[in-house]
Amino acid sequence: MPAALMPGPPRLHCLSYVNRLLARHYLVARQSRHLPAFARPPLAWVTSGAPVEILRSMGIMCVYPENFSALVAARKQGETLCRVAEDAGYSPDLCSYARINLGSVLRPQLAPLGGLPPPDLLVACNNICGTVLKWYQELALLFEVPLFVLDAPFLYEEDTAALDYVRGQLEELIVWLEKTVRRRFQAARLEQVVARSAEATALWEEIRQLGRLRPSPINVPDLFVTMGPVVTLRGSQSATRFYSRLKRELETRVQKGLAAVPGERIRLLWDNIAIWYRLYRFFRPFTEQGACFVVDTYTAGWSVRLQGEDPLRALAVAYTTVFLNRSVEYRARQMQQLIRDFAVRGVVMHSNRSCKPYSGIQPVLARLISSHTGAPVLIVEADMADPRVFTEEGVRNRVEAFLEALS
Amino acid sequence: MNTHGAGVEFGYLCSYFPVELVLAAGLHPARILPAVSPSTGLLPPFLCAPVRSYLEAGISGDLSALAGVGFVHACDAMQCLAQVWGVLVPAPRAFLVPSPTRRDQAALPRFRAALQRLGRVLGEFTGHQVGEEELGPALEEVNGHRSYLAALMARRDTVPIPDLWEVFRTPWRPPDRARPQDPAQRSARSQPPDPSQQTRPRLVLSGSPVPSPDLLFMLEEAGALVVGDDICTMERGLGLPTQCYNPEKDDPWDALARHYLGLPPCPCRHPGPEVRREHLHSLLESRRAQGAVLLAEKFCEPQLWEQHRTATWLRQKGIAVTVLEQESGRRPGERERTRLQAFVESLMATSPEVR
Repeated sequence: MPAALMPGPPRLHCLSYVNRLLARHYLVARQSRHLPAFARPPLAWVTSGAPVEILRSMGIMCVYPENFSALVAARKQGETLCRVAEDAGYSPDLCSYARINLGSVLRPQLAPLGGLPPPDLLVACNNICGTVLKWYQELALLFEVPLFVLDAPFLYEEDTAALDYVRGQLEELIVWLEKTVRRRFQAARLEQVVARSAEATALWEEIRQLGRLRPSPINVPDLFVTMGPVVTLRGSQSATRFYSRLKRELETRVQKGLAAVPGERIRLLWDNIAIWYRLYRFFRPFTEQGACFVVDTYTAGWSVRLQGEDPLRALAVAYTTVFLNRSVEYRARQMQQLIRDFAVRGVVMHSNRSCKPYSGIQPVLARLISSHTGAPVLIVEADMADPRVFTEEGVRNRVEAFLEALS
Repeated sequence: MNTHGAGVEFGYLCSYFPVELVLAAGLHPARILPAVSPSTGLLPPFLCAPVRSYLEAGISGDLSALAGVGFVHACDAMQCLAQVWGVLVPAPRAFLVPSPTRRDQAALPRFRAALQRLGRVLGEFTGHQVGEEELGPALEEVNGHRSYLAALMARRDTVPIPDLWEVFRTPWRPPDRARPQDPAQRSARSQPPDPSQQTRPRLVLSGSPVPSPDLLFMLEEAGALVVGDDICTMERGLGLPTQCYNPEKDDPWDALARHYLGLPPCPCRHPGPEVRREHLHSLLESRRAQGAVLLAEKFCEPQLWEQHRTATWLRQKGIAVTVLEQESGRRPGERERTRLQAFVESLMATSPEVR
C-alpha cells in the first residue's frame, strides 16, 4: 500500500500537553506582574542560548522572545506583527523573530496572549548569532531596563581560552544579577538547577536518539513542537516531567511497531530552524512519499551536556560549544555523523533568510556533505517566521524533484 | 606583489584588524575594499554585497598575490565568510583575530591573549618573530602615521576626492614615498581658496561600507562637502583616534588591545548604540556639519538595526538627516543622485549659514 494511503499513527498526546504547558508558562509570567511588589519575582527576557540556570537559581522568571515569536509564527500571526515593526521603521531585512517581537511590544493587542509581559532585565548571549546583540540593545532602549551581554566567542577552532573568558563572565553575571534584582546567589541552588537542566537535556537527547530506530517513532516536526520546554523551562521540574512522559509515549509506539511515517522508506535529515507557519504542511509531501525526517540539527542545540564538578565551568562549556557557535568543519562533521548514525539518505536544508549564522554557510556545507557521504542535498529558500518569503510553487517543485531523485 | 616598494602585502578586511602586527611581522598592510558587483553563488543572496564580493575576489584569484588575508570576528556575515574562506580559497591564507564583542575591561585579557596569539602565528608564517621588541616600534610607526591621517581628515574638505579615496584605499602607504606632498597642502597650493566652499552644506556620512567614491562625487556635484564619515572603508578604517603609547612604561600588547577596544564602536560591538551616536554627534560638531547621510546597505543587519533610531536622535539634536538605502551589488545611480540632490537643496534652503 502506498505510504500516502496508509493510516498514520495517532497524534502524540504530548503535542497537546506541550501547548498547554507553554501557554501556562506565559500566563503565569503575565500574571506574576500583577502580584504585589514584595511577592513579584523579577522577570527577565533571555535569548535561547543564555545560561538560564543561573537566573532560575535566583528565582528570576525567564521568558524567551524567540520562542514566543515561533509560537506567533506557528499561529500564522507573524506577518501582522512583522508589518507593525516595519511600519515603525524597522527594516524588513531584519530577523523575523525580532520583528515579530518588536511588533508585539509596539502593538501587544495584536499578539497572542497579549504579548510578553514587560521585562525587568535582559540577558543576551551571542552564542547563536550577532543579531541578538542588536535586538536586545534595542529592547534595552525601548524598555529602559538593564542589559547583560554574555560574549561567547565564536569557535573557529578549539579555543580553551574562550571557555575561561565565558566562565569569568558568568561570575560577572552573578554579581550583576545580585545587584540588579537584589537577591543573593546561592551556589547550592545553582547545583540543583543545573542538575535538573542536565536531566531534561539528557532526556531530550534520548528522545532524539529514538530516530535511529527503523521505522522511526518520531518525525522532526514533532520534535519542533515538543522542544518548547527544553528551551523555555530548562532547569524546571516540569521540563523533566514532560520529557519523561514523551519518552514513555514514544517507547510505547516502538513496542507497538508504530512508525511516525507509515511505510517509512526514505530517511532524511533536516538542517535549520523550522518553517513555523508551515509546520506540518511543509512536510506533507514528504510524508506522502514515505519520507521521514528522522533527525535534525536544530533540536540538537538543546542536547547540551552539563558535566563536571564546577557548575559554572559546565555552563561555560555547554553554552560556548553550541553547534551554531562552531566552524563549518565542525558542523560538516556533525552532519556526517548524523547521516551515518541515523542511516539518512538525503538532506534538506532550509536556507532561512532570518538566520545568517545557520544559513550563510549552507552552500559550502552542502558541498562538503555530498562529497563525503554521497547524500543528495536539497536547499529550500524560505524564512522561519515571515511567510511572505515563502513561495509555495517553487518549493513544491523542488521538493518533488528531490523526492523523485531519491525514489 | 610589491607595488608600493614597501614590502610584501598582507590584506585585511576590517578596521579592527591590528595593522601594527602586520608591520611587526615584516609585511605591509593593505586594506581590501569591497567590489561593487559581487556575483558569487557560494553565499546566499541575503548576505551583504561586500561580504559576497570578498569571497568572489578570493575565489577568482584577485587576491592571490597577497601574503595573507586578515579577518576579525565582526558581524554574522563576516563570520560566515571567515569560515568558508579556508574551504574555498586555497590562497591567500586566512588569519583570524577572534576579537571580543564586548569592549569593556572584561574583554581586555581575552583580546590581549588573542592578539599575542596572532602575533605568534604571523611570526611563524613570515619567519619574523613578533614580540615586544618588534611590536613597540610598529606601534610608534603606526601612531605617527595615524597622526598624519588625523590631521588630514580634519581638513579633508580641502582634499580632492580622488586623492582622498586613494588615502582610504591605501592608508598605510607612507606619505613621504607615495605621496611626495600632503594632498591637502598640494590642493591648497594649486588652487586659490574657493569662497563658495564656505557656504556649501557640510555633511557627515555614517553606515555600511562603501566600495567606491561614487557617493562622494555625487554629493560634491550636488553642492555639498563631505567633511567626515563613520564608515569602515573610509575614515573609520584609519583606526583613529591615535592611541596613546608610551614606550618607556606601557606594555605594547596592552596598548594594542586597549587601542582597538577603545575605538568608536562599530555596530557589531557592545556597548554600542549610545556610544556610537555620541561619537557621530561629536564628529558632526567638530567638523561643523549641518547634516548627516546614513547609508543602509541591504542585508547589513548591524547598521540596519541602528539606522532609524540614530536618524531620530540626530534630528532631535537639530541635525538634518537622510537615510539612503543601497541596493546590493549595484553602483549608486540616478535614484541616489536625485535623493542626495534633494537633501542638499533642502539644507541650502533651510540653513542660514549655508546658501
